[in-house]
Amino acid sequence: MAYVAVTGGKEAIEQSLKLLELFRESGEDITVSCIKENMRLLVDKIMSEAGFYSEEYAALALKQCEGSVEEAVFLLRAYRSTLPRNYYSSPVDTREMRLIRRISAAFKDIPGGQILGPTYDYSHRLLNFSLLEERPDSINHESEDETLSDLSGDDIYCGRVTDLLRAENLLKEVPEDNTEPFDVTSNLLTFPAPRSARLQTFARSDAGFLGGVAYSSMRGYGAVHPTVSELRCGYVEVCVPYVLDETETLCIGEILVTEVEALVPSHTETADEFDKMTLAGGYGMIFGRNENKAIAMSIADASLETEGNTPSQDQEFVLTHGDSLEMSGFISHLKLPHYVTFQSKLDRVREKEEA
Amino acid sequence: MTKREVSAILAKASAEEVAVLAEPIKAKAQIQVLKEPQKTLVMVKVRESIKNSLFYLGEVLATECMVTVNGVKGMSVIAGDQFDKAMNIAVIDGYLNGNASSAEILEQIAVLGASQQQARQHMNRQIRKSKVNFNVMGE
Repeated sequence: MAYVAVTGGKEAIEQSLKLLELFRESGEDITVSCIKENMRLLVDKIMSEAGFYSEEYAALALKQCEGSVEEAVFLLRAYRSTLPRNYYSSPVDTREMRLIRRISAAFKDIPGGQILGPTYDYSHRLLNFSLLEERPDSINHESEDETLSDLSGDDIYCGRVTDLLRAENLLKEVPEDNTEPFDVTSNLLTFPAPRSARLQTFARSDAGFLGGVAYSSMRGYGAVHPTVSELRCGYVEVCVPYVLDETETLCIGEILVTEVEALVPSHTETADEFDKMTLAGGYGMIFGRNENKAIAMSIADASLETEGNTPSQDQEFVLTHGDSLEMSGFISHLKLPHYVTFQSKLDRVREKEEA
Repeated sequence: MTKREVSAILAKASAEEVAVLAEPIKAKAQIQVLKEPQKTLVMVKVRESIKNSLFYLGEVLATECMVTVNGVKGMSVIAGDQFDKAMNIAVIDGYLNGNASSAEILEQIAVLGASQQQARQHMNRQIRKSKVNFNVMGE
């Protein structure tokens, strides 16, 4: 069979796009604002994987693509590529985070206390059928809790748990490293990648992929089963230099982030290793509220500090296979015509059969 | 108040609240637009706490604008897609740059900041109430 170059499908594609709109339409429309207000964790996931913080646009992307995470990430990444980047923020220091949640699995008593905040950790995983009937005007907020009046209404800020460990010399004091970060959105990643490149890549990674990497490391395909020294979630101010006066900065607003510090003791099998045992750490920080992703990021970060042959210890493996856009794009390309390459495969099989 | 404090309050205010502050300035001052409100990206740089190094977390959608108010430059960069608000904040900034002793508007901004803080108090109390009180067994 000869190879034949083909064209066509224009009308079919146009109709397919029309059908997409027909399938997207529903009898009960949902507004972008409604998605933003009601699907916050999904919106956070999209922003995190897109590496693009805009709750409104993330909600719009979700509406446009029927709630598909990878399509929404694709839309945001594509849109983001049309915008100029005119500003770089001053370094965000999470000691200045306005907290809504902060816990430590390492210490019971931490300055500022363990603040559970909004979490599903203690919820019963039972379907709440009363929500089927819930309407905005039917939500019954309980009457004012009188015990609240005894509590301070000030914003909540706390120092870090690792600062305490450093004060006790249990965690090594490290000087500020002001090396300008590598930007994976503008530069081709090469290996070994700098730490800044891997943290940025993890922050944008598909949550499921990163979870799998961390899970594998904890289960034995790696050596990291950390203790969460601190998990915090809250708002940080983003500031940029004030171009009219270099001594001043402008705050552009607040973003919601989740941060995790995970601690791992160094490997000890011999008495000598035990004597030299130190604490090392992994770091996770992501846009929005997604605690498992932030914890997974800290494990993946710590795992890359260890040596071994498991996937989680292979920098190239974990940094090149977790991007939502790249992985879905590569898998999706298999749906494109491969008539020529497949004919070539068939020819080889036929030749083998005839031989 | 520093630029950071003023801009933080204005960035967190609603477009309507900012308009209330900017309209009297626009009514009496000569405004020239140097850079129309436009969308831009702000790359967020973070200092991570394990190795004390810097990395890029991701980009925030923002709107920027630059004007002159009676010949004095003012600018704004605010998160989100908010053209009118960005223009009004740039006007306020230009006015403040040309009127260092503009106590009245600074006072209005301070009041706005206090009301923002006040609005967060109830939620802060709710969050504080979720602080764990441990009971140690055997004590």
